[in-house]
Amino acid sequence: MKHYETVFILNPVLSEDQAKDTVEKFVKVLTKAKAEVINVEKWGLKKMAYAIQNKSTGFYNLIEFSTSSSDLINTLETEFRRDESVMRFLTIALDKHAVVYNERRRKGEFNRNKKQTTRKEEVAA
Amino acid sequence: MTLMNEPIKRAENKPKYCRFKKNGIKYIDYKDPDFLLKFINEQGKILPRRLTGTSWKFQNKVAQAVKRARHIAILPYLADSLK
Repeated sequence: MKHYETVFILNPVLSEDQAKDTVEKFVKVLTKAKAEVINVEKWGLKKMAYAIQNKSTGFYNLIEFSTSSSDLINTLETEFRRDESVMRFLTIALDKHAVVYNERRRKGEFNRNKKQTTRKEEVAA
Repeated sequence: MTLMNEPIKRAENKPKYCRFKKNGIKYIDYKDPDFLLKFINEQGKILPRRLTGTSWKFQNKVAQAVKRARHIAILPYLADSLK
């Protein structure tokens, strides 16, 4: 079961619920192919470092999943390419250190919300 | 070649170390901008190893993480005053 993580940016023109069900659509693609979806994160509307399709903000979403079939990634990416509300997507394979890191991140060890987290805390945890 | 009466700057020749090996960090997250900001300069370029002192293996991981962050617009490709 290889672990994968995909981050994609949705067009800010979409309304909240449109963005929500496009994310649902992609999760459905994964569950239909019997992939195990570990984590779905919505970072909401975020300012981008540079303009994409001359828009400076976008809905950021993250899906972490694990699957054994390798062609699922191709189908997922063609799904991303077909949907024009997706401005940009990035799918990566996670090695074992990344999987451990994601679990600790989900448990909130890096306490994402509190701003004054220092790397030492992260290492100590 | 330090001159006779020129002070040897202690700060310069203190040994550099790879902060990833020292702190035992194994994975560099490309989604975390404030950690990656430490490895790029004001124009958004990746800092070279001779300045940061990181080992070859982790410099590749840093470079890959920065390039991924740039792809999903978390870091800019070029910026004028980033920090």
